[in-house]
Amino acid sequence: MLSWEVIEEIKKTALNELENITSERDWVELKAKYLGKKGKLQDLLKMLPTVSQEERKSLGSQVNEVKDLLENLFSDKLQEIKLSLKKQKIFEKKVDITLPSKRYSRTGRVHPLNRVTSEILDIFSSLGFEVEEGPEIEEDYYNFEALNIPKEHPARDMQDTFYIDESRLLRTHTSPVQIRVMEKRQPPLMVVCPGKVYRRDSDVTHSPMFHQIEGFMVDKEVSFSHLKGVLTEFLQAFFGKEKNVRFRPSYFPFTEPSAEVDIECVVCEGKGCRVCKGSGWLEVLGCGMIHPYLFSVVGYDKSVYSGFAFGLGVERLTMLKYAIDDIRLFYEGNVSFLEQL
Amino acid sequence: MQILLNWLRDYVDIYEGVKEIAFKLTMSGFEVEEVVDLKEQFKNCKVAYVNKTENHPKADKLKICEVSTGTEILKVVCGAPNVSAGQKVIIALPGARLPSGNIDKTVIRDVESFGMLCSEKDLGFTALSTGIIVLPENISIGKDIWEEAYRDLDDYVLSINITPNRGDCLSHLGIARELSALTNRPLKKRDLSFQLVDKADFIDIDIESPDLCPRYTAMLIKDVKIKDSPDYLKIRLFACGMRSINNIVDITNFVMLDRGQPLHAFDYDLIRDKKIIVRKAFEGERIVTLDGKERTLKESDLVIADTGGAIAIAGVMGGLNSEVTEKTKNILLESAYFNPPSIRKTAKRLSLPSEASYRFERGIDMLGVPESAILSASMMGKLAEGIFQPVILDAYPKPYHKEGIKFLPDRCAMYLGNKEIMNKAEDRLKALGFSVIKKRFEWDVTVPSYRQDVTIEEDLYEEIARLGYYEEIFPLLPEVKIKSRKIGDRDFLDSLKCKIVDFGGYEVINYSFVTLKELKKSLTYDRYKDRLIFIKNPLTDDETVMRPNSVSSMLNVLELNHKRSNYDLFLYEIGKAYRLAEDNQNNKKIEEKKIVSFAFSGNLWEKSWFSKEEPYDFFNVKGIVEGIIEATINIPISVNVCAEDKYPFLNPAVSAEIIIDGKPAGFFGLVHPDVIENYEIKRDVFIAELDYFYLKNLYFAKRTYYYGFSRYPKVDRDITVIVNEDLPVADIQKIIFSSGAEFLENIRLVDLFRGEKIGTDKKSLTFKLIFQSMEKTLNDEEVNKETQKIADNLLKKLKVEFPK
Repeated sequence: MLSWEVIEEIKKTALNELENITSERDWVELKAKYLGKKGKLQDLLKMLPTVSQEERKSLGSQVNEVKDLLENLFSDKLQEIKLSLKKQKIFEKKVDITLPSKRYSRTGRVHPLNRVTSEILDIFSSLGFEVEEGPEIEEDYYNFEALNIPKEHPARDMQDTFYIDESRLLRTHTSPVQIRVMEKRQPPLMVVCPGKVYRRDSDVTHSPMFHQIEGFMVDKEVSFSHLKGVLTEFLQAFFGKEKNVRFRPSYFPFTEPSAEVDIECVVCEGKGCRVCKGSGWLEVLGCGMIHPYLFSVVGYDKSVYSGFAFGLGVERLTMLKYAIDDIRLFYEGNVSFLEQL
Repeated sequence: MQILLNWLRDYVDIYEGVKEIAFKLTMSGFEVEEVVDLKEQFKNCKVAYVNKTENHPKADKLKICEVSTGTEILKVVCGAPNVSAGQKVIIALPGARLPSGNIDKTVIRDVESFGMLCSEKDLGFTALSTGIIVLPENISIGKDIWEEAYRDLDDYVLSINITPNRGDCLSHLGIARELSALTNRPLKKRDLSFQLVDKADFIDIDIESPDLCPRYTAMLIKDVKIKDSPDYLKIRLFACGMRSINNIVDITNFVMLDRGQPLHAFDYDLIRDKKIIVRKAFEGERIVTLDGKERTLKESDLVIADTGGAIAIAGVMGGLNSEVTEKTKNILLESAYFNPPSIRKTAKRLSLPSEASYRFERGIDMLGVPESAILSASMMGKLAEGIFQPVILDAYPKPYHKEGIKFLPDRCAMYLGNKEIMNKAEDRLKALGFSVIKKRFEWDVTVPSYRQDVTIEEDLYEEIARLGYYEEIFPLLPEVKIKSRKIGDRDFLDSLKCKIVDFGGYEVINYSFVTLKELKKSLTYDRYKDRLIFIKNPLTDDETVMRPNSVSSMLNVLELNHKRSNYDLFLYEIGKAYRLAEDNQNNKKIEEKKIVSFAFSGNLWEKSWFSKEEPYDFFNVKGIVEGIIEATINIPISVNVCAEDKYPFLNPAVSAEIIIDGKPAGFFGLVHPDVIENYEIKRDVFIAELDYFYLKNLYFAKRTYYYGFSRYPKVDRDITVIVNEDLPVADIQKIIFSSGAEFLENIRLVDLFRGEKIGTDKKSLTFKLIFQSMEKTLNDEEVNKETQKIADNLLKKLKVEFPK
């Protein structure tokens, strides 16, 4: 007997069944079952003539309402099934993003000493200094004599030298490049000279071969103030703006006045520690006003020109920067060391 | 130089603490490297009382002493013959750190000992031991030794780094002068009067080399008693790192540390004919020095001689034949000035550096020479009961003279970059002992005789600036004309390195020198043996040369890494090779040549979840080198077979020369098995070397232009040929390109096959031929026609076979 309850019952079952299907094939079957030509709603319509006249209209329109509703829901469901299939298809190829990457080569490394050298040269370059280089096998004249260190001068003790023969040696510092550049060029000059230097010395903090950067400036009225200005600028660019810098009187045969430059300890920030031997300061470079003897050697007039020069050890700065405690690590070529930096 | 704080008080009043003094000195040019509290050195050394002693049951010479430290009673085993009950002694308790060693509780021949009773030698004061110290009655038991027994230990030692120019500060007087200037307190003088004479009856002085010895003074001190020095003297010497020997030697050392003047004491009665001759040594002259060694001298050495021969090497070391001994009665005291370079040369040649030569080398105060003599003599009077007249025989053939310095105040202000300082300049110079006469635009400055380092006006600038600790000079950036940076070497270097790093290279830095052994080990010796640059004085006994190439350096690094289980390596270095080369006139000259070196071992990549490992082989190494060069200078490379013996360290079957722009630019290849067997290297190793300057020149010379491209599609055809194994692929490629085939744009080898199917000694190669026209879309017919041309040419020129 067709009744309001029967129609509602069919609607409820249809909705339930629709809810549970996941494939397009089930959907086609289900749609045929309810909305097809031999579907249940058609059956209901066919039963209409069996009910009374007064019920026929309302039940008829109820059946049609259910039919419309189901048609909409079936169409929505189809969209839903299609979308979910598409999604499923995409996620079938889901990767484990934590699998190690595929790399066919390692990333290389620039040696820490050379990286620091570049950094230092970049800073000086930005201040207007040019880069020049000189020979490592040097003449006694350029390494010592022209730098105001004659034979039998006690300052030769400061640098134990490797000799090739009577007049040639492995340069003990990059200062000879200063003479070579001044010999062939006229002021104004602002030059930095990086390179390898050699001393007969070998322990945890000394290597028979190490790297220095020499720098100098010659012009009219260059003063000690300028020396302090340029080196303070450099050191704060390298170590950090907040670091204090101090200049202490010292002695080098090729500068007068001479100074050692200390920077506030990078480890303890000036409080005193093992690295700075409790002083709170680290000695980082030597410098001074170029000694007039050097000007006389290269033929500059000291009443016209003055200049400053400085020399710094790349190893020292690199060791401070990366907290390296043994200088020999730099030359072993052990990749376990290199890959950390 | 060790400086004792209380010793300085002999010369200048000090009210500051030791830290403040260290700061003042450091900031004015005398870097204080360490401050040592002497008291700390003698922690756990206390005065004790010996209650009783008994013989050690198992050792005749040892005694077991029961000592009281005031707070406890301890048993101590002591070997000193002079120990006995009722003595006040010094006990070093467990935990004491003495110069002679650390003290702990020990067991000596089955008897426990809770410390050590000390001799002066144990405490480091004297060189020889004369038994344990027995203290006077009035010293209190239980006190630290510095409280009553050795009050002079209540002091600080400053370890000062004296720069080589400041020989005058290798003395307490010198440092006191600096403090006097820094604090504006007067310098105290030791009040000693004397008379200088140029003749005396006790000795004749004949200076034959006044250049090497411009001043020589002598004094006679008679009837001295050689004995122990007083405690304060022992402690001052100890604190400065010396040991007490006897009163006479100690006095000469004391005066040297006090005034910087090295002195020498001769046994007067051993000087023959009472004549001192200061002369150059005879070539081959021999002398036995105080250390008992015989030295052979050269003409360049200066000696002090008597009529019988040398009795001392001037300023370096005395001779045994005139040594002061316990028997000595009369002393001839020498105080002199010797020429610094001459002393240095002799001391260096004889490897005899001494406290004396160290000071003479740096120049002592010529005007202070007699004062040092009189100070010594007066001490010998007091401490050795010597008798002397305050008369100094002064041989002074070249009197001290020093030009004054013209000082330009305006220039000084410019130079230091601070005009204000000039207000203090005169006071500061005067405080440092300079005298100043001011004229209108310049000052005449006279330098004190002890300041040999000051010779030019710039030296004076430093003096003025350093008394203000350089703090008055403000940092200022110079104003300069701006200009563009020159593009140069470093731009190429950075770009090259960047590419190598992209390809995975780890940069290493190798020593520039290698031993001959290493060169031979790496089979590089023979190639360079006539071009090696030897180091005369290498660090080790092995013969050492500047490296002629990087092969042995790289092999060492590989070996080190293999020993550390790092096998997969791609290393590079941009460094120099050093060789002798002949110039146009056949003169040998030194050549420093920058080279780019590579070394490869193990795997390019390792086995992993996505692929099996790919070991380095000739072809991927070739690809890396090629890739780096192309990426850097945009020029393709080619390779040449290298002559078999040219690179003896390479395997001749698996190595090649690199050709860039028509010229050889380096080599690469597998390292020769004969080399590898000399190393602990566990994988195949490939190395490569490139000429840095050649690449750099190409980098800057080669210009790159855009030349357009085709807008029409590419069409390709594969062609497979079978050829003899020994036919180089490059030859086939050349024939393909020279076939006259139009539109051939590129070829690629896509397959290489060897197998029985095609016969032994044969290989099958498949090339992909890529055709493209600039003007049109090619049709099959056109492409087939061109491909046929290529096939025909290959058949004609190379007699290749085509697969059936």
